[in-house]
Formats: sequence, structure tokens, C-alpha cells
Amino acid sequence: MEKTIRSIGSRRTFLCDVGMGFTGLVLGAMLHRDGIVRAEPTAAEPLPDGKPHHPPKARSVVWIFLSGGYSHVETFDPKPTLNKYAGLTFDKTPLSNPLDSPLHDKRSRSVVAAEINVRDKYPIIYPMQVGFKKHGQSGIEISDWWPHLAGCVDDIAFIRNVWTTDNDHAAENQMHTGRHRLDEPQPSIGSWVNYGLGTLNENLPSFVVLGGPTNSTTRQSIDAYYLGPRYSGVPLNLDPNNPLPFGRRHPSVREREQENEYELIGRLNGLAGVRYPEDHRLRARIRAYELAFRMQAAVPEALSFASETAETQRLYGLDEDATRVAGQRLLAARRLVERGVRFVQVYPSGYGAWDSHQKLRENHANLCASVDKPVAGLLKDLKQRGLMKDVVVVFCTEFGRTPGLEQRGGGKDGRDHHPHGFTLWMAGAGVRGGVVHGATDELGFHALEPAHYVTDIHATVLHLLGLDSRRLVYPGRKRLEIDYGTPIRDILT
Amino acid sequence: MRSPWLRVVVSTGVWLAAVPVLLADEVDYTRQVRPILTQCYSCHGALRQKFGLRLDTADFIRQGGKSGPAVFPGDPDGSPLIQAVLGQERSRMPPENEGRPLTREEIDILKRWIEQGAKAPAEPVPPDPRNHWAFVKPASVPLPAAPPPGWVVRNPIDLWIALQDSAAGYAHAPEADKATLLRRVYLDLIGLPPTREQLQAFLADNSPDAYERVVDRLLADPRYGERWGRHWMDVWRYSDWYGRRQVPDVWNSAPQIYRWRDWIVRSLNQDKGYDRMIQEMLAADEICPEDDDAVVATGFLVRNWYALNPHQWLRDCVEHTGKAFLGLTLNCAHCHDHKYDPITQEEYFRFRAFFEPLQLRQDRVPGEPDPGPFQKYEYGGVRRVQRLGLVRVFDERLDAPTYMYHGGDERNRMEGRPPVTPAAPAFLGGGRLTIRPVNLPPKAWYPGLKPFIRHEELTRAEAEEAAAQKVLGEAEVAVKAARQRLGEVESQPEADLPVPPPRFHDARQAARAAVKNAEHRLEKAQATLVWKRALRAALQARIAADDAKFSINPETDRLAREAAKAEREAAYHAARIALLDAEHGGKADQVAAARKAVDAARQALTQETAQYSPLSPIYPAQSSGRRKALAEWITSRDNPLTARVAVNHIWMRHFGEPLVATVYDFGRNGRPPSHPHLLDWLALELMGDGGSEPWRMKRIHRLIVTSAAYRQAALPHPLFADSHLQERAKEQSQEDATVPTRHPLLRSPRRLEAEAIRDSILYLAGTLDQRMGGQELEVDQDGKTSRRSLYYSIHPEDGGHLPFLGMFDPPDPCDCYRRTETVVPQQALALTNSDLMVHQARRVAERLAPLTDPKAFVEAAFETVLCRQATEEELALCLEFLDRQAAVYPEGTARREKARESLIRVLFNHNDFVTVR
Repeated sequence: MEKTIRSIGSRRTFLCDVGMGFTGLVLGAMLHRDGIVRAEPTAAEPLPDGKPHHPPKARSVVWIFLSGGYSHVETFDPKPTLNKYAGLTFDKTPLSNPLDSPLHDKRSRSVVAAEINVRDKYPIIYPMQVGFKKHGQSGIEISDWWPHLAGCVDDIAFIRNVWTTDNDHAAENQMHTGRHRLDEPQPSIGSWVNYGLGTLNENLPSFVVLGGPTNSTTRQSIDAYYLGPRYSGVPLNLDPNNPLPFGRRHPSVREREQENEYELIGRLNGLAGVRYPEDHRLRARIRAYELAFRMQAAVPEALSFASETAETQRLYGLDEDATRVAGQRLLAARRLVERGVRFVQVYPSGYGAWDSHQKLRENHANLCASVDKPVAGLLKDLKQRGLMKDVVVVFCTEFGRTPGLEQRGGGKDGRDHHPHGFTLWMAGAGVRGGVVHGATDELGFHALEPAHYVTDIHATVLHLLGLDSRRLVYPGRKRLEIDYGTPIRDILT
Repeated sequence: MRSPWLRVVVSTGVWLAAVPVLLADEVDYTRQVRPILTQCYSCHGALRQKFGLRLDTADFIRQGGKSGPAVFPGDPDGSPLIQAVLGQERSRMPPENEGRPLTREEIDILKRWIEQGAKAPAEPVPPDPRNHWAFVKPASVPLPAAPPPGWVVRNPIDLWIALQDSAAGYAHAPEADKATLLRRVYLDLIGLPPTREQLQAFLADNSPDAYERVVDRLLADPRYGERWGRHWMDVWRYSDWYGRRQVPDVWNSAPQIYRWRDWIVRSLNQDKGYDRMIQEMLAADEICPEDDDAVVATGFLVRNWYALNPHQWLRDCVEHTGKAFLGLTLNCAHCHDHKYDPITQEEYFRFRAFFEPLQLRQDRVPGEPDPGPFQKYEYGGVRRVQRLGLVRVFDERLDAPTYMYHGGDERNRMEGRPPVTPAAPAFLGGGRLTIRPVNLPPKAWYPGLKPFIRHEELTRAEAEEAAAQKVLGEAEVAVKAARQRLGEVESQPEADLPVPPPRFHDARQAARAAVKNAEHRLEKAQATLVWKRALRAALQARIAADDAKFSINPETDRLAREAAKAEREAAYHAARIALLDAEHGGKADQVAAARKAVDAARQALTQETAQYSPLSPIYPAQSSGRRKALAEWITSRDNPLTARVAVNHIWMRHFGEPLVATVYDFGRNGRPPSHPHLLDWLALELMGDGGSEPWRMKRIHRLIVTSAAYRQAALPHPLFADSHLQERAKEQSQEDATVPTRHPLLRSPRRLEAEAIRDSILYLAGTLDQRMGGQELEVDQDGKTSRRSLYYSIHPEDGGHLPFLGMFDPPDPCDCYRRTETVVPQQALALTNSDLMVHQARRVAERLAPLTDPKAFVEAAFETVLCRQATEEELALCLEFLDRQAAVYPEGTARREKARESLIRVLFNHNDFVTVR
């Protein structure tokens, strides 16, 4: 696809962006039809037709996930109380002891059976390891480890009352699927988007993963599960020479040679089409070959930075070692959403990178420095290109970190996993900027009601894309009330 | 849609009073009221009547429950139904977590309906759920006498189809041409296409039973077991181990589970009864405890094992025993009574109790070292990949209690409720199973009695003794040589001696040190030989003591004491060797510790005991018999579900479409069968009603593939025809979910499964390695090896299948009762760009190289790759392509050969290659 997408006209007609207009919708519907599904749709459980349920405010998502669990109290949720009572145990402060709250058990569930082991509780208050300052017109406080992002707070809605239940790293999957490791798996958020809306650019996969999945156990985070593998995320490699599996012409086959092959395949299958005029799969296959041939060229083009100016590359920190990896992934994400990819899931750092059981200060200072500039760069770049009107950015992690000091193994400078309350943020299309939504208690322990389980984040993203999570169903598959979530309307424009 | 605004208003309960009721529109009960109330039926319907109330007919609604009528016609605000749906938090219906609150519009409809007199047309009373079609045993129905005109009938399958489909106005498709049929039946039964020679032979064979003979040959082919083994591996959720591959740390399944896969393949090839297969998978350790070839079948349960949480293991055992064998979603009754089927939450836990005593063990197998006991979970410990032995289940705690808990979370145990006892759902006659504990034969609970273990242990002890003897001989020679050297050095004048090694002052000192070393080694060798002899003696004494123990020999005690003593003697000698080592250059504290150990070992010699080490772990001598009872109940002829579920799976894999669309849910929320008589007839046939040996699956395959229905030409499924889709879009809003999905033509072209695509490419190139069975190969071995796809590692995590298969909807090892079938561009990329394609296409072209004539080559290529003849048009296109393609390559290269390879790649990319017609 030569033309990049420019947002024109009202958001209702954003499909015109890719020069498809009505055709875009029809193609979306056709793609849905091509999938030969396992179950028969019924009136109560219809298959999606690629059309949004209500007028959308966004067309694409950049979902940035930081694996390991960043500390909310050292990033986006300042808690001076921690400094005030540093070194005391919870029961020695005038505040109510968060370990005694009924919320404690409600919002944590160990994968390991209780009779085998319970996770330790850490009652000694550990002070914040970094300072916070107010920024922007909104005066929102974020920590000093985010000097670049500090310039963007007026575009961001911080959600400080999120909770999950898994107190170990399978929470990474829970963040994406809404289900605990011990519950039946569900499709990931990107897969639902892909399933619900289909694609805006057939030459590219519509759900792309960059830098992940982080680990063999986190495949669920991009998996479509019962929706079928075609809706799963497609991991792309940032090496333009070999960006997707089998996506490069075999070295022993010449370009002209392959063109001829594709041509003959098309003609032979065309003859078969005359023989079997009603064979829907055959027609889909003929089209799949046309798409494959284009995809083979479109994917490397989308991932090549050759046309990006030095200024843009610097904006993402591509010129510095510390920020290069995250910067490349986020710049690629922008190029992909620009080209109509629906959902780009980006992992700026590796599996468990933020998991700071020890040496939290050192670990977080380094990691923040590796993503701060690239993430801020993405927001600025989207803004300067007018893409903030089309793209929603989500910045999240699997859980926060304990306000108490982790003492396991004699630890004295880290925090443990904390599913009870943490912060993530959103920005971009349909999201109010300069907003702080919700709070944790004074110690940064429990998310205060009405708090948000992770599926509220999913529902919010789907809502922005024009989808109602309750209407996204798959025939024969039961979803639970908790799966649907509720959009966080306070942060919406 | 539930906005916060709505929630607030609803909870105040006053807003509706202000809304004027629109009397103008007559509310239609069937079209408007019923759909609103259907979500109430699970508690207030045929299945259950909470508060004595049913809402599934208008009569029942008016009649009401224990506290009187639910509606007072004409008085909406006074009707309990309206009060209930408007209720505050806890009193609201449906209750929280049981359903969504009604919307303002829905409540308005209900109110208007009551206002207008709560009228409804006559309607039937929904039947008792226990009489649901699948819960009633299939009954033998006389076969229809004659088919309708125009329908070919080859066996009763065709009669049933003809009877039903002709009445519905559907026509019969003509028989497929011979080449199409041959390819279909080959791929169907062995997962590989016919070779060109096989095609030509079949085309030339005009005998009336040519096809049937092919079928018989394929069913006898061991590759049948591989093909259908993979199908059943889908249903039974085969997975190699997973957890944390990078570490590697086993959390799920087990590394030796491949033995279960091989058992599946073997059992299918032997045509073992399906009933017996289920029994062995659930309870081989109780049914045939001494048969190690069968006991690996419990891999079905091992696969669900989860290191971190035993509850999860049991939950998966319940869920998938229910879905795989019974077509029942037992798992839906985990947190509350089942919403559709008569299964209570207590029955869910009673079903779990069958599995409650489970634990895993790993047994030694002949020719392999002892794997040692199974490594249980330890917090923070890494569970290493164990590549030895066989893994299986056993009952560890025979009286393990099963407690009920709330909300699907084992932490919330129900207070004051005693543990439940094992039982299957009562509505299926499983409420009172007789469960008798099974007394296991000694070799089953103490594998150390197995002759091969004794033999291998004795052989090893003897070998070690011989080795020690040899070392001793060498040490003696070495001491002699060292002493002689010392003698020579001492007798020579200083000046003549060579320069000593840097560690020593002079050569004499070096020679003396060498003697000391050699003497130490000699002493150690002597001690080692003594130790090895003692070990062998101890082993013999242990075996003798075991023999005595298990034949109730009066000398049992004496022999046990002797064995214990012999072992202690060996231990004493081992301690002495450690002391010798410590004394030879060890530190003072090491010497002291070693000396202390020797003293302790010597002291132990004087203690009288009959405790000696067994030759293997010892397990309980009894098994609870719970799983045996379960398996026998499942495979009883009285169970209405088992045979139906099985034949439906078989049918689906022959026709692409099942008879019951919801293959794992035959309950009331599932779909009704498209051809109920056919399904029941097949189920009865499987159970041996036709007078054949019961539960043999090869017979069912044969019946199906020799039917006229199977032999029809494939036409695309009408459900996916354009005209149908347009109709459907229009009708969707009015569609009734209870209308069965019809499959009138019963044969559609379908895409080959991932494994069959890869295997066929390798097979046609002549490179498929057809060795069977064995430990799974890691996915990175693809390309370096070319075994059938089912032998490569498969698990649900990233990298859990061959990358090539990943493009073609490989099975999800956690849930694959039915595979997805998609058409996406990435498939085209894999089929054009992969190493597999480029290399194998070259091999195919090489095999056809003797055909120098281009036309002969193209014809042969079509027959080889697509198993059919090329049409004139295709021939012309391909010949022209060969010329054009040859011109792409520089002169002087093997242009013709490259063009031919290129054509083979094209044919592999032809839709006909990945399609079974």
C-alpha cells in the first residue's frame, strides 16, 4: 500500500482513510466470511460482520505492555505516606492495616494451591525510591524517572485504581485475556478486536505483535484461543529481511520466477473455479494468494525505517543505545497503525524485565530510561501526524509492586508482586488528556472503589473502537460477567 | 447496555411508574415476552423450579409458585414478577452473577403484557430435561424397507439419509470419479495420498470390489493408526510437557507421555475396542495393573497433571472426561448447578471424587536406567525434564476426601459440609455405582519385583565388581612399577638423574611421591572391590528377602535381617573408601568427618534390623477402584451418550461435518442431530447391535467409507454458498436456535489438516521417514528429520508446534474437539517460501526426471501431486510455463530442471492439493 493513512472528515467515516470507504466494509465482511468457523452462528450468537456496533472514536490501538510489573508507587501513583511511615509495619501506623482488608483475598489468588504454599505478606513500609513532580497544565505528578513523558501528561489519562487477581506472572496473560491462570482461557484483547472488526489493510496482518510474546508461557497474551488461530497476533520481526514466518522469498527462487509461479497458480486455480463455481473456499484461496504476494512486499516496507527522517528517528531515541530497541519497536508500531493495522501489541522490554524483587531503584531507573523517550516520542509523533485522532495508546503492566519491602531471601531493596492496585494509562483517540482517574488507598495498597478489573480496560478500548464487549460473542462459547468489563467513561471525551 | 445511569434509576425502582403505558400496541407473548424470560428458565423452568416457580409457559407464570401467582393480569405494578425484576440489589431477579438485569425496554414490554391481560396462545409444556434426546438410550428402529427412487443405497447409512433427505426435498449427488474417490479415501484413512502407481492401478482395476479392497488394505495399514491416532489425540488433548520451556521446567503433562501417543496408535491398529480404550485410559492401573503396555494409556489423566495446583489437575480431569467421552459439559456445574442439564453442583464434586486419590509415578522400563521416584512439586524448585521410564497414574491416598467449594475457588470450602463420595450424574443412572477397592498384584505396587529389574541390577552389580577387579589388577602393576622406579632412582648418583618436576626438590622425592600415590590407589582399589562385592551380596540378599516376603516364607524375617546386614556392610565399605580419600591429602576436618562416618557405619553393623532398601519405590497395595467403576459406567451399553459421541467424532472426520454440531456438548444447550436415526443406528452398530464384535471402530470406518453417501461427488457446503449467506443475513434475526442444522449433501470439499499437508509433501517427494513411535522430536528437528508430523513436540505454549503446521490451524492441545479450518495468506507464504516446499519440490522433480518429454512430465506431475489427470487447458498452460520459466534462468544453468521444480511448486500450491474433494 503506497498511500499512508490520513485522517479526514468525521470519525464515522474513518474507513475512507484507506481509500476503501464502503468497499472497506464489504472487504471486512468478506474476510469474516472466509473463515470457516467451528460453530454455527445463531440469532443470539451472531458472528461479527466487521462493522462497529456504534460510531467509533478510534480505529487502531497501540498496546504497550511492560512485562514483570512496574511499581505504581515509583512511576505514576505518588504516595508520600510511604515516606512518612517508612520502616514501620502497617499495624504501627494510624491507617487501617491493608493486609486485614477483605479486599486482600478477593484481589489475589495464587496459582499454587494454598495447601502447597502461600505467598508471603510484607508488612514493613518501604519508602518511594524516587521523587515526583507536577507537570503540564494539569499538574499531574509522575516520577522523576520519566523526564520525556512528563511533557505529555496533558495528553494522558492515568488510571490509578486497576486490580487483577493473579499474584504471579501469569497475570501477564490475565492482563490480556481477563482470566486467571486457573480459569478457562479466553481470547486475548487483540484477538477480540481482530475478530470484531477485521482489517483495514489486507496486505498486512491486522493484529501485530512486536517484541513478543515475551516468553513461551505468555503466548496466551496474543492467542485467539477459540476464535481460531487466524485471529491471533502475528509476531513480526524487526529485521526487514525476514519480518514474518515464511514472509520472504526463498533465496534459491528468483523474483521473476516467483512472479511467474504466482501467475500460474492464479490461472490454474481460476480454471478450478470454473469447474467448481460454488466452492467458496476455493475463491477465498485465490484471493489469499493475491494477498500473500502483496503481503510479502508490504510487510518489509512497513517495517523499514528508510523513509523516516533522522529527526523522527531521534524522537524515538533510535540514536542512543539505551533507547534503541524500544524506539524501533514503537516507531514500527506507528508505521503499522498508520497503514491500517488494527492492533499493535508492543513489548518495549523483555519478559519479567520490570520484576524488581531486589535493587528496585537501579532496575527501574534503567528501565524507565530505556522506554521514557521512545514512548513520549510515539505520543508526540502521533500528535504531529494527526494520528492521535485515530489511534488509542494503552500503556500497561501485569500488576503493581508491594508498598511493603520484600524480605524474601533477606531482601532489603525491592518490592514483590502486587495485584491489589496499580496504575496504567491511556492516550489518544477518544481519551481525555491530563486526567487522573481513581486512586489507591493512602499506602498505595488497595485500589479504591469503584476500582477496575482489567477487563474494564478491554471494554474501554473496545468501546473506543466502536465495539460493545457484550455483543462480541462466539457461538457456543459462554462468557462470564467479569469478561465483559465496563468502559471507563470518566476518561472518555 | 448497562450504564451507571440506568443502574441508579433501576435500583430506585420508581421511574417506571412515571412512564405511561402504551396500550396502543398489543404485546406478542411469543415474539416479545418469551425471549426476555428465557434467561430465567435455568432456575424457573423444566430443569429446576426455585420457589416452585416456572416461567417457561404463560400458564405456569399465571399459576406462579409457592407464594402465589407471578402476575396479576391487568395489574403490572402489583405483579410479583415485575417487583422481582425491579428489586433492589439482593432481591433483584435475576440475581447478581446469574444473569443480566432486564433493560428498561424489556421491563416495559413485561408490564404492558400484564396490563393487557397476560395473554398467550396455547403452547406446549417444555419436556422434562431427563427426556432430552441424548439422555435416552438409542433405540433400535427397524430399517426402512426401500429407498426412495433415485437414491443409491450401498448400506443402511444410505437408507437413513435417503429417508430423511428425500423427504426434505434434497437430491443425491452423483458418485465421485475414481481418482477423486481414491485420493479421498487414502487421505481419510491413512493421512497420505495414493502414489501415481497406486492411482494407475486403481484406474485400471475394473472389478466390482476394487474400491472395497482398497478400503480393506488401508484399514490394515499401520499408517491408519497414525492418521486416526492424531484425530483422537485432538479429542483427548494430547500435549507434550510444557511449563517453562526455557528453563526447562515441567509444569504440565509429562516428558514421557509419548508412550500414551504410541499406545493410541497401537490400539487403533489392533482395532482394540473403544470401550476398552476408555477403560484403559481412565483406569488401566486398576483393570490390568501388570500390563505396562496398557498402563501408559492413563496418559489421558497424566496430560492434565499440573505441578502447581492439584485442584486444577482434577478440574481438568472432570471437564475433559465429561466432554471427550460423554459429550457433557460437567465443568459448567463447577460453580453452580448446571444451567441446562440436570447436573447439580454436588454431582460435579462427586464426579471429581473419582479422581481425588490420583498421583503420578514413573516406572522403570527394561533396558533403561532407573528414573527414580517421581519428582513432586516443591515451591521454587525446578522440575527437570525426565527422559527415563514410563509415566502413569496411581491412587496414592485411597481415602482422600473431596470437599465442595464456592465460586470455583478451592479456598472457599463450604462450611459444615462433609466430603462427598464418588458418583456419576444420577439422571444418567450413575448415582449409585458399586465401587470396590482393587487389590493390586505385588509387581504393580512394588515394581522392584519385576524380573527385568532384578536381572538388570544383578548384571550391573557383576559388571561393577568385574570392573573393580580390573582396576585392582592395574593398581598392583602400577605399584610394582613405581617401586621399581624408586629403586632405580635411589641407586643412581645424583648428577645422572633427570631434572625433577617443579613440585619436587629432587627426582628421588618425586619417585617416592609416585610410590605413595600408587599405593593409595591400590589400597582404594582393594577397598572398592570389597565394597562392590558387598553391594552384590547385599543385592542378592535383598532379592532373597523379597522372594521370601512375597511367598510368605517362614524365613522371611531372617532373610530380611541378612539383607539389612549385607546392605550395612556395603555402606561401611563405602565409608572406608571415603576415609581413604580423605586421608590421602584431605584436610584434617575432612579426615575427622570421614572417620566419624566410618565409626557410625561400623556401629550400624551391630544393630539388629529387618529394614532393607527395596529395589524400587513402594506404592499402596490397593487402589480405590473408583476410576474402574467410572470407566465401566461410561462404557456400559446402558450409557446413552458414549457411543453416540464416538460415532459423531468419527463421522465428522470422514465428512467434514458432524451429525451433532456441538461435538462435546450433547446436552440441552447443544445442537440436535441433523440425522437422529442415522446417529442412533451408528451408535448401536458400534456397540455391536448388528451382531458384530462390539466397539470395533474399523468396522464403523468401513461402513462409512463404503456408503454411497461417502462416495458422492463433493459439492461445496450449501451453508457457505452466496445465496445461502444472503438468505441467512436476512433471516438471522428471526432464526430459532432449536432448528437443527441440516447437512443435506453430507460431503463438502475441505482443507487437509496441517499434518496431512506436511506429511503428504514429504511422502510424495519420497523423503518421509516412516518409522513409527518413540520419544517426541523437538520442533527444531524439522528439516533435519522428516518423520510424520504427529511425532514432533506439540504443546500449547509459544513454539509448541512445527512452524509450518502453525499456518494451517494446528490443534490447540488444550481444546481441540473440533479443528478450525481457515484460508489465510500466510498459508500461501508457507507453501511458496518454506524450505520444505523448495527442497521437496526439487525431490519430486528429480523423481520424474526420467520423463524427458515435457508433456509426459506435466502429466506425471499432475498425477503425482494432485492425483488426477491434467486437462487439455491445464496441460497447455503448464507447457507454456515451462518454456517461459526456463528463460528466466541464465544460460548454462540447469534451466529445464529448475523450471520443472518451479512447476512442481505451483502444483503443490494448487487449491486441489490442500483440498480433499
